[in-house]
Amino acid sequence: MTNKPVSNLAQRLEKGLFTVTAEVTLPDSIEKEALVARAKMLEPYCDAINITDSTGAVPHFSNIAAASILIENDIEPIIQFSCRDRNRIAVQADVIGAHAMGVRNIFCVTGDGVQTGDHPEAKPVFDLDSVTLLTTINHLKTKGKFLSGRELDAKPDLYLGAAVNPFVPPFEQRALRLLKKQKAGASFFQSQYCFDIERFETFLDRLMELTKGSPPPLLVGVGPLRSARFARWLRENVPGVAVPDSIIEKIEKYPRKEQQKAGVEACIEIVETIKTLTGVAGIHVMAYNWESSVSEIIEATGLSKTARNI
Amino acid sequence: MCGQCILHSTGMVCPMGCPKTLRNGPCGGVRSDGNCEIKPDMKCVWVRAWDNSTQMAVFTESIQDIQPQLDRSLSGTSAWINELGKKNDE
Repeated sequence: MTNKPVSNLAQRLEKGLFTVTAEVTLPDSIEKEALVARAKMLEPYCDAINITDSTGAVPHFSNIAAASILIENDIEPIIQFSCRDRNRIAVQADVIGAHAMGVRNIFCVTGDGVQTGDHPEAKPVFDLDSVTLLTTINHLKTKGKFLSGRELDAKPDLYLGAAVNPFVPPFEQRALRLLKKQKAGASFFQSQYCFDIERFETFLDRLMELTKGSPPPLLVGVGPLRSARFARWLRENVPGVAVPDSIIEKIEKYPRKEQQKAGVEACIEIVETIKTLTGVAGIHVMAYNWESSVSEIIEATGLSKTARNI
Repeated sequence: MCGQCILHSTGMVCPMGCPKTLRNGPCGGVRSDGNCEIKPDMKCVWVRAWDNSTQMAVFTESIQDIQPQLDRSLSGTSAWINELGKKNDE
């Protein structure tokens, strides 16, 4: 087996280089151009781009198609797979198909319930959970076989990731859950939005203790809040996003017109703190429908590709 | 009834009561009050499982075990009989 990193993301994280990933908002478009335009706004600032899997249980541009289009444009994707819409047959079929299209980074999540989205009448699948999704894909990766034992012609080169949410209960279990996912095959982690640094530091301390100071690569989720109203909407409508009152109050001090700027500044402040923490491999920027803010956050924190690669 | 009982490793809380039927721990959607993302009035199955498992005299660490993919063909059958049948085959 070769030890060569399978992707740019894998290479950076294995070398311990500070890494930036970002999520592209998938457009409701039937053509490629809108997606490419959005991805190109992020590309100068990040090492790989996350492609969500009908996030929020709302159907969006197919993740495999979107990842292929990014690859055509020399942009490295991290493709997200959730358990909500695919059973183990569909997962395995899609993983090898995605590999054939050049996908190497696969990020495994449980997925939001169908109740969250705009098709609450749909049948949720959840044949697998995020851990068995990892073990299933890791089986393809390490054995070159389907779960049934049927063989592929070769082992796919994959770099598997998983999600961690230190910001919701049961807090004490979150670091252990991350390690369970590592055991199941995850090589890197991306967290849910971090708006609560104290909570994150408690989690990180526990993770450092459990791993004797050598945690797996972890990219901390960050993102700007467009307004105090948006922050409240996010907290109430997006499962698993914890937005403390303190950050909402900080933004609300400003008149409506200036709140956008205050939201970006609050995000910059969080990134600056994250940069100083030992045990963090980088950041993952999620600026929903607001790709243009990413350049501002990255430039202000000195994390542009040029600055990081000096 | 999944036919593959793992109650000893989930603090005696049945994971099939989770609306997503998660068997390996909580999802990231748990509400800040510890309730379920999908059923806001229900305590998250995994919050209960974690609390209970820490209070058990035995199998406290089993909550860390990786549970395999569920065999859906055993749904509705008896876990006891399935377990004994497995032992007989061995």
